[in-house]
Amino acid sequence: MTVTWRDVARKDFEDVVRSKLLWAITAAFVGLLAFFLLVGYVSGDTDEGSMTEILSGMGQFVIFFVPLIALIAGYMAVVGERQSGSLRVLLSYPFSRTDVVTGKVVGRSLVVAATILFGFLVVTVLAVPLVGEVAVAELAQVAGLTIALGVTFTALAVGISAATASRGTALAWTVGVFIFLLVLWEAVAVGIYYLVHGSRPGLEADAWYFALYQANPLESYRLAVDQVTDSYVWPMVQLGLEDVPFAEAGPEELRVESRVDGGLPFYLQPWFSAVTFAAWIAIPLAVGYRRFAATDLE
Amino acid sequence: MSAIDATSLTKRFGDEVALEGLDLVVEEGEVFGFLGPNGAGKSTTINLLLDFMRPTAGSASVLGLDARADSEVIRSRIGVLAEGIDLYDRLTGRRHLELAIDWADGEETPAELLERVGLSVEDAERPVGGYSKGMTQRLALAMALAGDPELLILDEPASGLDPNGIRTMRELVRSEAESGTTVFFSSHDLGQVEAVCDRVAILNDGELITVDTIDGLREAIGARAELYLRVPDEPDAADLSTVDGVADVAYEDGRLVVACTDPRAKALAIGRLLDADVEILDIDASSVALEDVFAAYTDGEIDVVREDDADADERGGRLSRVFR
Repeated sequence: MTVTWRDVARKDFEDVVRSKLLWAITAAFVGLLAFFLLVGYVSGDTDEGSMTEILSGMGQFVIFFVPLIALIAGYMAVVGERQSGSLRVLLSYPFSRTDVVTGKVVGRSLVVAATILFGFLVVTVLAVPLVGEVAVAELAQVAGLTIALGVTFTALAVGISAATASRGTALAWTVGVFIFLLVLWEAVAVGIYYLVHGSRPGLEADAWYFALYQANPLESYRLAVDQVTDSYVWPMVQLGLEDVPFAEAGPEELRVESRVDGGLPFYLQPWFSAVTFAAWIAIPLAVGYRRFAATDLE
Repeated sequence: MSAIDATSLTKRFGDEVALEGLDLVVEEGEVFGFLGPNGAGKSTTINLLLDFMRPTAGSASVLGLDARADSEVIRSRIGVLAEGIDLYDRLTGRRHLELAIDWADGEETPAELLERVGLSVEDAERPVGGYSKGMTQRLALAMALAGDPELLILDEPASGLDPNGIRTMRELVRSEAESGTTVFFSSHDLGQVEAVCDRVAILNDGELITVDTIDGLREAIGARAELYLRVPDEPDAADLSTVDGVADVAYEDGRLVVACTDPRAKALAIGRLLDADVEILDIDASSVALEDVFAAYTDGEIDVVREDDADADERGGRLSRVFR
C-alpha cells in the first residue's frame, strides 16, 4: 500500500474542521444570512417575495462572503505547513508534492463545501416559512453554483499558498487578488472597452465586453445566479464606470439579457460559468504546483 | 549497498555555499554521527537526501536509490526526525501516531510507539498544541519509528529533551541499531554523538573535515585526557612520569596537572601518589578531550574549554562557548 493525495486530504480535513477561526467565519456567514433574511422580511421586501428572489438577493451577499471564507480556508494550506515545519514531517512519508497540493485542495474544498451547504440548509429552513414554497430546482442550482464558487476560490488560495514561501507573501497575494476581482475588475473591463471604442460602455454594449466581464469568477457567478433565478443580482461593489444611468435604470434593464443585442451568446449562458470556474481552478493551481515542485523546502 | 552515499554533493544559494563537494558513505547497520556547528550544512545535507532541496551539483543515493528520482520509495523505507518542526496542533498525539503508522504502512499500534518514547496514554489523548517542546520531540521520534524503517535520519534529536528524554532517545537509537537499523545522527553536540555513534563525520562551513571512529579521531589529534590534583606541596614528579600512559606532569599553584594518553593512566597515577603518601586534597579531570578534536578541526584558534572550567555551565553552555 502506498500513500496518496487522499491521505493528505483526510488529514487536512480533520485538522481544518477543528480550526476555531473557520467556525467563527462560518457562524458569521450563516448568522448574517439569517439576519438579512429577517431584515428583508420585516421591511416587507419579501412580502410578495418568492424563493428565487431570496436566492438572487443572497447572491449579492454570497459574492463577498463565500470567496472570503474560501480564501481564508485556503491561503495557509501549504505555506502554513511550510513555515511551521510540519510539511517536513508530512513529506518524510512517501508523499509526492503533487499529493500534497492535490490533497490540500480537496481537503479544504470539502470544508468550504460543507460550510456552504450548512448555510443553504439554514436559509432553506428560515425561508420556507417566509415565502411558503420550496423552489427545489433553483435552490439546488444556486447551491451548486455557490459550492463551485467556493471551490474555485479555495483552489485559487491553495495555488497562491503553494507558490509562496511565507505567510505574509501568501496573504498579500490573496488579499490583492480578491480586491482586484471584487473591486478593480470593472475598471479593467471598462478600460479595455474604452480603448477599443473610444467611449465607455452604455446600457447596451458589445457581447464581448460582457464576456470579458464574465471571465471574473465573481461576475460569472452573478450572471449564472441571475439566469437561474431570472432576476437581477446586484453587484457587491460597483464603481459606476459604465455609461449607464444607474439611478433610472431598473433591475430588469440592468440584466445582461437586456443589455446584449439579440439572444445571449453561448459564452454568456449560465453553464459557461463552469468554464470560467475551471480556468480559475486550473491556472492558479498549475502555477502554484510548478513553483512548489521546483522549490527548495527549508 | 551503503545506506547513504553522497558524491560531490553541493548546494549553493546564490553566492552562499551551504554544502561543498560532500563525499560521504554511511554503511548499513552503523550509527553514524554527523557533527558540526549550527550552519555547517548538516540540515542542508539531510534536505538533499530527502529531496526537500535539489543539489546544485553532485548526487546522493539512499538505500541504493537515487535521492531525486526515487525519493518516494526512499521515504517509504526510512524514518525521519526533522529539526525544528511543529506538528498538527489541533490533532491529538494518538491521531498523529495513527496517521504516521498508516502513512508508513506500519504494523505497530500507537500504544507500542508511545511506550517506546515514554509518552503516557493520557498525554496522547490531548491535542499536540498543548505539548511541551520535549513531549513534541518524543512524539516526533515515535512517528519516525513507525513502519520499522531501515534507516533512521535524526536531525538534532536531543533538542528540547530533558536528561530523561535524552536517555530514552539514546536507548532507542541503540536498540534500533541492534535490530539492524542504520542511524544517521546529526547534531551540534559532541556529547550526544559520542554517546551513541560508531563513526563520526565532522562538517564545518559546508565542507567535510574528516570521517573517523571516535577513538580514531582522538588518536589522530593526539588528544589527551588530563587529571587535576590539588596537593599541598609539589611532589616528586619523577614518580609519575614513569607511570604507563602518562605523557606529562606539571605543577602550578598547588595544582598538579597530569596529561595522560590513556584514560586508565589517571587511576594508576593517583595510586602511585597514594602509595608515596602524598596527600590529595581534591581531584578533577577532563574526561574526554573530544572538544580538542573538534576545535582543532573546525577552528584551531578556538580556546578549548576544559571540563573543570565549565562545571558551572550546563552541558549545552560548554559547547555553545566552543562555537560561540
